[in-house]
Amino acid sequence: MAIEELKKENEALPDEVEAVAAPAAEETEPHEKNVRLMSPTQMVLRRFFRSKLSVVGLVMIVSLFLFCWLGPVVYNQWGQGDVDETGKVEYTYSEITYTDENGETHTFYQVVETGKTVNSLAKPDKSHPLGTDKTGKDVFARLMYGGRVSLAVSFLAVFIITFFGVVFGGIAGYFGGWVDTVIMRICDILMCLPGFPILLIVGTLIDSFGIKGQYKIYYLMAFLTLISWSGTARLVRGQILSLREQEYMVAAEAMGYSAARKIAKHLIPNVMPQLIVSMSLSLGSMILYEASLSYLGLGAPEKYAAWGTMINIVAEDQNILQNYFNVWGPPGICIILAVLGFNFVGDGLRDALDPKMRR
Amino acid sequence: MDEQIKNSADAPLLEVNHLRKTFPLKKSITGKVLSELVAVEDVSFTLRPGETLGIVGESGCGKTTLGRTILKLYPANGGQILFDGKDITNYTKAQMRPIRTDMQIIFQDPYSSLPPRSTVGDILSEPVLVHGIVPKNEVKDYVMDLMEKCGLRDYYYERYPHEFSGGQRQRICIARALSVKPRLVVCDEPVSALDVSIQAQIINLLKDLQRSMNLSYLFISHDLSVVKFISDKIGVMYLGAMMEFGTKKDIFDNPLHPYTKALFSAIPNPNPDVKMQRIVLKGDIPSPANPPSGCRFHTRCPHATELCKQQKPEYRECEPGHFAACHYAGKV
Amino acid sequence: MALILKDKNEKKKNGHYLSGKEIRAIAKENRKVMNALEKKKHRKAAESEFTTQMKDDANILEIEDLHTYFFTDQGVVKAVNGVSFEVPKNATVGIVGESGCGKSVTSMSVMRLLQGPQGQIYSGSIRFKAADYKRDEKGNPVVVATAADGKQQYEIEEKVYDIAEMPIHEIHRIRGRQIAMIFQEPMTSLNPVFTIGEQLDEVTFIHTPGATKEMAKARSLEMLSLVGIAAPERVYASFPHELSGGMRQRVMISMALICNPRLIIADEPTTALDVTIQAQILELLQDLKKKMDGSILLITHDLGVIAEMADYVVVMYAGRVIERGTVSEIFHDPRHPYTIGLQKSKPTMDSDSDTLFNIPGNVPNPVNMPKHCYFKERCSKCTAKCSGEYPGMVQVSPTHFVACHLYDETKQGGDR
Repeated sequence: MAIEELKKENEALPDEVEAVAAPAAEETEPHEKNVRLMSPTQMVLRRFFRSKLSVVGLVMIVSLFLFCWLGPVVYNQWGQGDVDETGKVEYTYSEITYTDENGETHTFYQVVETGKTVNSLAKPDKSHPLGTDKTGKDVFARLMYGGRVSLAVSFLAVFIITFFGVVFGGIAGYFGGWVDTVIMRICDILMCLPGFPILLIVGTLIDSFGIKGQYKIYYLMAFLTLISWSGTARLVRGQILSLREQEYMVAAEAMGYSAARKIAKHLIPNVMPQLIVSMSLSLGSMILYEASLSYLGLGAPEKYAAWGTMINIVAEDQNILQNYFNVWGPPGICIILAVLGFNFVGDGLRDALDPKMRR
Repeated sequence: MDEQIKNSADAPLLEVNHLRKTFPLKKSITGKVLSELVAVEDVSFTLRPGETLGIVGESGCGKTTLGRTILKLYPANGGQILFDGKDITNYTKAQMRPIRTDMQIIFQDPYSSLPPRSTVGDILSEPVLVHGIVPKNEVKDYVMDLMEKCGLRDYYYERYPHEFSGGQRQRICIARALSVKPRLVVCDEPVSALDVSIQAQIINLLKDLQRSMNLSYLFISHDLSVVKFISDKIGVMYLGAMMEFGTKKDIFDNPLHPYTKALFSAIPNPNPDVKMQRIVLKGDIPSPANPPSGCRFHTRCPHATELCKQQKPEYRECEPGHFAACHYAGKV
Repeated sequence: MALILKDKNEKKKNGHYLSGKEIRAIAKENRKVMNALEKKKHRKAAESEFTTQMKDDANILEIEDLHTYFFTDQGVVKAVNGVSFEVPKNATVGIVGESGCGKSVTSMSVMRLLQGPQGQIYSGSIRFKAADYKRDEKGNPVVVATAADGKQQYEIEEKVYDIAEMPIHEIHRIRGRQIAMIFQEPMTSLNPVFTIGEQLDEVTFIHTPGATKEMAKARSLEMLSLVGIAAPERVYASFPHELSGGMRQRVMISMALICNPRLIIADEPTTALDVTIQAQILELLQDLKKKMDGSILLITHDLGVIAEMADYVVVMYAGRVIERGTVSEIFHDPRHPYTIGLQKSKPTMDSDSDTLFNIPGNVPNPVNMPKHCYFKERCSKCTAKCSGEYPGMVQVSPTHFVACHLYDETKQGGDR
């Protein structure tokens, strides 16, 4: 059997490990000094890289970031707002049916020759790898610039959410009592709020304040963070409540440490693993939020690219949806990749940082 | 140190009078306590410097709560705690902070009592730095010295707790507790989670340190043989109340309470030829939330009478320095 | 984040941690071995592949040169590293040792309950004499007689299985029915959403073909009263959370007894209980020992429990058997310095000395065991020979074996 061969082959294996692990153990030194183990970081990395999905996710995320931030440096002939004004002659055909008084039907073909000043809706070719959109802007370039907005906005939002969550959840969990009750009731109320309708209203309000269109999405996402920190706060609170029962926290209490030290040095570092996991998982949902808002027309104006804005075109023009996949497909794929990537990484991080959560 | 020893030559370091601690079980919406669990009821004792008081009892007897209440980790609901002559019963957290260095605690579970993300060096230097035990530039030497005293090798300084076995972790816990030069150490089942051969090491270490640092221990354990070995005085607890209290000699040579006797005979004897006549208690330990009327022990006591069911026995001094809470103390 | 930054400095400061290259090498080797062993575990095999013969017919269980390894990221942990002992019929064998000595892993190997793919039986054999239904060529049980009410009686025959070689899907022939297990933690060993009765009855349903509800209930109640539960009907109808720890352990024991197992493995049955409750359970186990027709493999760290319960004792240290013999040999004439030290370091009620005897040092880290005797660094009777090979088993009496260089010459008897 194969197993027997393997066994023979591996007879040396345990010794090899020993040899690697204990180079020339000296007689005077205790054996344990030469035992080599893994540091906490190494164990986390090992557990993370054991799952293939998390590696795939990481590759997806890293390549998206490289694409968005380094891409425009290499591919610099078109900016996000540059219109290809090379112009071209385009013929459009239309069919005209006419019924005369005798009841006979005549069909005419009308050929219109238009000389366009911009090269709009071009098919992918050498100068435009993904073609151009309706206004003659390069899709490939806009994809890169749009990614910057989408990713940056989501990151910003997640960091703000986490900040609020840690502060409020930490206060609620650590101090308890009426403070806890008040914060948790606020969380309950926030969780009841319907996100999208409110954002639509806020979007109109922002318009009426006359805020520049390109910053609108930032304001909207900032507002979104205000109403969505409750999940993180609950997580942090729960974690702190369970950590408080740990004996090393009781020991810290018995040592007479100040509340600030206990929170900063003992509680927060131990909440970090769960926080990092929840952050990477919520990054995916933030990207979706950004895309949905932009799709609904609440995002940046057409001039400034964002993945959601780029898809928005199909809402206006059936023709593009049917015939020009190269205009709306790539941003859609990018959104899927980003969301999947963040979720894969988040799952991998959870397994790596918090092995107990798995089962 | 010297000064402390001088002025506390014979005065008790710790005096506990009629201590009571309850936990609310049910609360009304307005926060009024509707029912409560009496974890510690009417416990009194004194502890002198350099002495060890052993507290023995089964799970749910309130021994851990007693230790933590004395350290003011839980607020007391009645009675008095005098530490070094000062009544600390109603001290606030801020008032407690300077006294914290004088009283420390060692826990049962050496796995959850060390922060997982700090190195041994960090764990041990933090309290020294916070309380300014030694000048900043001497901290490392001080910690190294302490580690040596507690039987930890110097290269442990940069390692993480997860690399150590239970015994080594417990040594780290002891070193952490001793780093602030305490006078009273509450040892909450410090050896229960350890193997026999390691237990002996830790008990010997605790004894050595007691001698060299003039420590007082409140040693909480469920294991009578361990308590016997380390204690000068012993208190036996059952369902939150002290059943018997006396010197080691009193308790072991002349146990007065039937519960103490039953505890003694329950320990398995590591000699296969001795088949001892065992007092096996009937039934289970009642829930501390709902203790029996009269004497708390009457449901399981082999000598219980009608009187025991009706009337709560007084905790009285049966012999000089030897207390028991039983109507028939010494008579059965 | 902070921990990642901190660690970078760490690595520069000392070479104590494994390098990335070494970690990858370990992972690669582990995968190779683990995959092969998993494949073997799930293979299809004819019954003849895992039936063997007992060395001594008086035994019910023979473990020979068992190696159970855990393939961890930090290296191979040889949790059980060449363990051999046997359990005779109707005897109680106690395995004693400290945490991490492999005593529980040994029992898990016998039950094939190891957590795969990390935990694997690497080599060795576990021979168990089972009483199984005799099967015809098609694999159906042979019927001896059919009672009037249609109940069938099957022919039983004794077969010796090598548990280590059994594919995992065949293990139901043994697990639960032939070998039952009592766990340490009575609080978590029962399913909280079912009543005690449902859980007890289930055992009968699974292992007795054609069992009816009434039969199962009768059997469950019988077992509950056997373990000294005064009101079996009440306990039968209650949920686990309504019972105390001692009661739950009694229920666990009754569950183990339902199928009349030939071997009961009790893994620290009294450790989680209070002293007075422990005394009750020990009393019960001793009583059952006399009544039941089977053997007990008792695993504990408490020498007192061993002394009261066991007929034979196996002392384990760091994955190896260092001494075994009858209970009086181990307690009155211990040979291995570890056994001697273990007995001396237990504070007893009648000793009055000032310092406890203790064995210095700690158990070596399981990932990197030294080549020499594992106890060498803690041993007070160390000789030059101890730095050499790991000592082999030496027979000091017909039933007493010890693995220590001190007894290499004294093949028979000899002084301490």
